[in-house]
Amino acid sequence: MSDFYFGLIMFICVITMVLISFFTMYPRKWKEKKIILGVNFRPEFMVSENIEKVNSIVKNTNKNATIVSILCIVIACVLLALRGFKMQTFVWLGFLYLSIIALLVPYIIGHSQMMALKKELGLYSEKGVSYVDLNMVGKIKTMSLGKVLIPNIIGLVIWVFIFLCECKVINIDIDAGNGSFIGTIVVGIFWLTGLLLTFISFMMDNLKNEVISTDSDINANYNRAKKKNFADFNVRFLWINTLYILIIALSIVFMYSDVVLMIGVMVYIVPIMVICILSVSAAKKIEARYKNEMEFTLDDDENWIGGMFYYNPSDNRLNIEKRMGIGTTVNFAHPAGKVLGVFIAVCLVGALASVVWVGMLEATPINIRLEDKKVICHQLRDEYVIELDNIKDAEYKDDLDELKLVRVNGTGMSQLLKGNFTVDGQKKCKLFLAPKDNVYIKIATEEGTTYYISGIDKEETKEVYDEIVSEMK
Amino acid sequence: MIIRIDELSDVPIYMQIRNQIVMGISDGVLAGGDQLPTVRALALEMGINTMTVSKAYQLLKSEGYIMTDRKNGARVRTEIKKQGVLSDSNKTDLKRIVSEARISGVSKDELKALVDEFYGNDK
Repeated sequence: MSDFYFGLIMFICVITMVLISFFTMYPRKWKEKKIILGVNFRPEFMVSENIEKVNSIVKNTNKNATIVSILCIVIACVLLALRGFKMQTFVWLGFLYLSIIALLVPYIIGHSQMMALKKELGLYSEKGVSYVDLNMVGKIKTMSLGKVLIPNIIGLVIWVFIFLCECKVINIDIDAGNGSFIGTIVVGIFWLTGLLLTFISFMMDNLKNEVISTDSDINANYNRAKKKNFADFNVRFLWINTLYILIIALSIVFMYSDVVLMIGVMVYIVPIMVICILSVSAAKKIEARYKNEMEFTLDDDENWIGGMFYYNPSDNRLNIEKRMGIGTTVNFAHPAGKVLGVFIAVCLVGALASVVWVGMLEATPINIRLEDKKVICHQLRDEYVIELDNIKDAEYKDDLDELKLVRVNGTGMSQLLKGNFTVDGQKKCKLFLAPKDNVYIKIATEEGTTYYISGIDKEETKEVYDEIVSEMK
Repeated sequence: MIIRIDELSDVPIYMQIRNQIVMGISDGVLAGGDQLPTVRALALEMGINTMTVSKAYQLLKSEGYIMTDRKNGARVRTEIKKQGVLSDSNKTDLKRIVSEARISGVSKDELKALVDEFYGNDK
């Protein structure tokens, strides 16, 4: 059941991501846009002979993006049929990465064509130029502590309540495993997410104001409208986060299960996707409303790598407004931006590598065999070697599900247990088994370590056990 | 009032800020008593060092265009001291501009018309 919900959550994430990317990155009415495929709108594009050139680039790019988007949606529909939690995680995450990259390809191609067109028309960016309206500096603020204080306090109260319950200070039976502090950890993570969101919302409120007109009132109204949209998004997100904290706290106290948590995640993700769509749509309306008021826009296209990544060593600011969608990005030329860039890259590669590793663990069968008077347990890079002379006792058993296994380190998957465990409270136990058949060989050694091993199936386990017994005789 | 900063210009950034504020005062865009942004806020908005903005404000203060205090920040002076003479450095700049105009074939009348336009006929 939780497989289905996990698949559904990933499906919703991918579909929303595809739709938002498609509608924010690829312009349909480019004449109304401030940025076209990561390139600033220039009045020269409206000259009759150039209109056709821009039209052609935009049309081709949109066509390619439509094909990629439809392909992503079709694949996502097919992946809904997948079962098996580990396999789903592996495939969906891989697909999510691939679909993000695939959706960027038409954009990057379109962007390079637009840059080439600019060059052909003799249009260059105003490198190093910036405009500031003195009347707006430090005055356009839409966030206040009052808007974010209440949801943060509610979240904190729930967190403290769950913690006190798990410490047995408040005498309520927690459904989510006594002594595990899982409730405190999960609720804490989401409360900290809310706190981070609060920090981000103030950071977004302090973004540089854009100068679009010589009239300070127009500039002020335009920037106020944009910042209010950011603030509304963040405050709504914060309330959804707080509501989710309440839901998971209730499920932890009263009915803790994987299915309930998965439904909770879905309840969390769907409204977030809705507010994303609302904010993107509001941002588009603001741009359309002020399009005619824009007397000049700062052309800093050369500071945007691929039209997406801001890199400007002359700019001291870290936090920069994004060119597409809503929100902020970082200046990758800033020292903190560089660190953040490396961190993001490591996280992305690490997440992918860990998914690949888990996939390999799942796909590679374990193997045990007797060779040169040694029991050898082998899978991927792991190998346990037990000398026959070192074996004190060996037993063939079929009561794995009755053992209380606690992982100290190693792998604890539903189809693979590998590494150091405590078994029924006994330390110094090494496991190397596939638990699906419930059978294992328990090997006690002279040095005090106890091994619990099995082959890929019942037959292999029994066969190796018989060999060990006959060799020991 | 809009300030344009060009980081690649030969003119230092603090001088660009100073010059444009002086032009703003002269044009009447900035009136006496108008509040200027704080050094920190302006530096943050421009993405430049606070020292650069501070230097521009110090220069404006020493030249008598603005006044600063801890409580009210920087404000344009209500009464700017009218010395009635052009500074030597401005005379040099003017001489250079006139010379360049003459070499470029700009007539005296055209130059006078420009001066009238920039100075304002009512002043």
